[in-house]
Amino acid sequence: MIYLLFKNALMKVKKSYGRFFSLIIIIAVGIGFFAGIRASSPDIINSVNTYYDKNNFMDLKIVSSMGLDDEDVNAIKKLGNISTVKPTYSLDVLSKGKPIKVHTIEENINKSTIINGRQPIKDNECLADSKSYKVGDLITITNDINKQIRNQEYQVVGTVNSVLYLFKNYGISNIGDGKLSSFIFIPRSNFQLDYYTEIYLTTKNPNNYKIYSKEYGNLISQIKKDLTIIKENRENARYTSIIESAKLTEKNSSFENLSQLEKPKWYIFDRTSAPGYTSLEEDTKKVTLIAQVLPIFFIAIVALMSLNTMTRMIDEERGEIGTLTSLGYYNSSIISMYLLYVFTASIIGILSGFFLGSSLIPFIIYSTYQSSYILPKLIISYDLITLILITLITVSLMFLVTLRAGRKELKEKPANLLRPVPLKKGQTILLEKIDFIWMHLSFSRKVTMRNIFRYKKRVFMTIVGIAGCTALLLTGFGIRDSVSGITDIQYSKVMKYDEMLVLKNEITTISKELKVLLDKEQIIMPTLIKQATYTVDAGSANIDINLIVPEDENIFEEYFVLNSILKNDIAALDDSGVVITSKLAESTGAGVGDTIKITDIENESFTLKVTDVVGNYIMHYIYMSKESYNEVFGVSAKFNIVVSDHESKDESLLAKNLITSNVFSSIIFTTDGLNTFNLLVTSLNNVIVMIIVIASILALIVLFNLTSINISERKREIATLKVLGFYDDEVSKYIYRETIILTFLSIAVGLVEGIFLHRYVIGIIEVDSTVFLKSINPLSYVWAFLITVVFTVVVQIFTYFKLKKINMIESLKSVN
Amino acid sequence: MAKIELKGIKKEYKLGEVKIKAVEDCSFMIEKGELVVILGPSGAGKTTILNLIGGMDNPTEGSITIDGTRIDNYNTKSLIKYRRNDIGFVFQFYNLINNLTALENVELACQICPDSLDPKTILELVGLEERINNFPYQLSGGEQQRVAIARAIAKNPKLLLCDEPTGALDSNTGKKIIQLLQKTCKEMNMTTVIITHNSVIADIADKVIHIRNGTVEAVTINKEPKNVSEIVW
Repeated sequence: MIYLLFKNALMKVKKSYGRFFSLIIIIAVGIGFFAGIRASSPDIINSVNTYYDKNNFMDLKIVSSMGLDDEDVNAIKKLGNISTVKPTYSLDVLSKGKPIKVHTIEENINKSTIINGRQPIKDNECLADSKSYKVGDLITITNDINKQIRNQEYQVVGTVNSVLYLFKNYGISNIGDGKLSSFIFIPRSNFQLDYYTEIYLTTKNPNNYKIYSKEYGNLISQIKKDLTIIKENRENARYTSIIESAKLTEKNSSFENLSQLEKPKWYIFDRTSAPGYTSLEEDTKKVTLIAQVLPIFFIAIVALMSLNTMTRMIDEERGEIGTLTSLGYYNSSIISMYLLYVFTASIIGILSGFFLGSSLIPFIIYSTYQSSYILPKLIISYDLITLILITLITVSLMFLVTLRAGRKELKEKPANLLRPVPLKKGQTILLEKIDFIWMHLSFSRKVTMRNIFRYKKRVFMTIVGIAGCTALLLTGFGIRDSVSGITDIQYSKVMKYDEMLVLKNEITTISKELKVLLDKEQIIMPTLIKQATYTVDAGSANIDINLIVPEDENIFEEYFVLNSILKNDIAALDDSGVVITSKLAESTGAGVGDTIKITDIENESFTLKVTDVVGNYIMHYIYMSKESYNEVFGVSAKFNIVVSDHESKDESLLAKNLITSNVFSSIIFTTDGLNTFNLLVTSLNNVIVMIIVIASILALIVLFNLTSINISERKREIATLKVLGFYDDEVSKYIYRETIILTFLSIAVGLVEGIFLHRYVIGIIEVDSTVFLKSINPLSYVWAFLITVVFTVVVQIFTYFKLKKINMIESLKSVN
Repeated sequence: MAKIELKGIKKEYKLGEVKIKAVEDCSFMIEKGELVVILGPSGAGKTTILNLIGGMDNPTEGSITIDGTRIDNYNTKSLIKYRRNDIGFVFQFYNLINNLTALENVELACQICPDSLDPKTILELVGLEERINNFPYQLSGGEQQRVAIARAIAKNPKLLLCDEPTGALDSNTGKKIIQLLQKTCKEMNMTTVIITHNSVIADIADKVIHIRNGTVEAVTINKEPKNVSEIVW
């Protein structure tokens, strides 16, 4: 007996492919996006992690201002938890006037992936960046003043992607125009140095902690701590050895120079110093956070649409249910027939959605990253635990929906079920009581208004579905506005200088010679500042801040606009305390009158009193006057940066000239900052495009589903209208008018919903160091509105043909 | 002069790969102002004939002439216009729009017809002046069918077509409906065609067209049609 019911359930599938597949598609799309977006960040991180592991990417790098030797290597090897210690050479040189980095080909660390060609065999062969070179290219090196490299000309025999460069922005250089344009790898024998330029370390990572994980972070901080302990010792030892070897070779005359020799300084870098490492983390974090918000919509819409479909199905099969109950079948067996139907649809939907979504969506997101990153092949993985969880949740949700849909029918007596459905109640609506409106409506408008209030469930679903879509669209566009707007504001309203010239040596005032140099390069209105990095304890994490001390507050004000967020006025720098930026105030909870504790690299802390809070969008800053600096640090401020504008049009030439002067170590143009940020915005744009596509697909599904159900529920009514002699366009208008009113109503609801959703999403994706704009560009409202309208129109065109196909004979059939 | 003439009508349906002949070699004539009953068992092809006369379908073969105009070769748009201006239709299951009141249901039809009659007057004519603001669910079956008849005749059609108008009603109510149809036919001089399988109703008609197996079996003319009160079923 039960077997026959199951057979019947499967027959239902056969009988109405359309309904069964629409159920599957709704579930598949919902699950697909849910699973796909959730899998994206882990897949991307996992791919990069695997890429790093495979090529044995360094965990830490030690660079010294005066080179490193074998003693250093041995000392590091003695530390715990370290698996590889690799001393090596690298050098910034010029090629065709642009700075490129020359690395040593190492076998066991930072391995390159050959895209084309082979490994070098001869001394004068090299591997080169696949983005800038082709196999067979000749690379000539200039600017190697001290002849540190034997061959000055190399032939490219292999093009590579290097694990060292994940980001298309390769970072800064201390020569040329200050921007690293490419890189090559040459055989080790070419380097003629008696010291190493850097030492790479990899850690023992027995548990395979992944990049960006907390555990990995802890592992690295522990080793950094160990390195800091031996650091001073090693610096001193290196100093002594340099002096001793100098004494052996040099004559007494230059001995005095030696005593002025600065002590070597170690710099310890972890992976965050590698181009792209940090920005990839932030980018994937954004996707993860978005993935936490969107599913709410999917679940709501999938549940609503399935409820709609199942209710409709059970309604249509009243008679059959009546027959079965009258034959003596238990309610439980009858409902289990429908549960089986839904279960089959769910499983097919879940499996196809999960696997399609998990393979396609990470791929789409990953490809959006290609504009700013150089990435390995994406490794797709299927998280089976997620699949099981999704299955459990979806199937139970679907069962709930089915039970809810069948509740009404199963409660009724079989005799009632076998009779035709009682007429749906027509009703006067509240609006009719307001005479002066109702009287002025045309007949067809009255009908429309009545119908809207008659199908309350459908109205509700339409509003939820379309409003959800509009809200998602507005959120998508709004995120773009909020994120891309900040660079403009930051660099045109807050920091208005053209460039920062980083000095090699700290100075107290702009000397005559420096002034001459700056004038010659048409640098306008130069002023000195001190910029130093400190950390501030913000409870859950330490955040990096930039301390800025101006030499001349009057010129400084021209470049840095310190708008107080409290007073609607420019914040003053004086000796009573410091001015901090708003996000820093928010993260630390410090306000005017409170104190803030900053810690330097040597772990020494200083307490500052906050006198004002100013608006700022990117990074954290603390501004203080010279006087205040003197008071807090007990020394007068020495300045390390010239802030200025320039007249020259050719920034790259300007940079080259300035760097050649040997006074500056690097030039940071505001336009470069804008470009880097714009690259990130581009990758975000693609994520937004995806949100828009998802929202659109959702909207289409919802609209198709609702319109189909609307039409099938009202087939008889429509057929009657046709028999009465309504033209096709009149019939369509009869249905459309409702849809149009509902769509506009939904869009209005959606725009309001979108404002809140946008605010919420911005709240989560705002990373520690940025403040996103809270407002949405008016044009984005227009776009969200227009796109929704376009979808409605598309679906209405489809509806038109569906309506046309309705056969008048339907009107002659009996009600059941 | 709503004169209807069917000549050699054939109608075939394609059902999958099978062709089904619903009607074949069917010819008859209906005069203006006549009350005609098309009688036959279910499946005989009555409804097909009604659909063809009512402009809901084109015949496969043969000609249909209404007032001297052939409609058998009309395209979809002309057929709609024909239905709109010339045909009033009464359904077995009334087919009222649930969400409209009795009056509004009639207005719905009137607003698309150029020479429509006043909806209120027509509802009074069918005896529903008290019920004009009621919704279908508040009306009995007979009352609903009256609204449907009002809706059909308010269009002031040349031809009133009724498909089993009493099929869903008890006999008393059914009688009243037939009486109403007879009354409007005579008072308004409106050609009326009633389709039914109930031979009792045939007695009130001016002309009875017997249909069997998709073709006209016989046409009988009642010289003296009975009054509805005289018939029993």
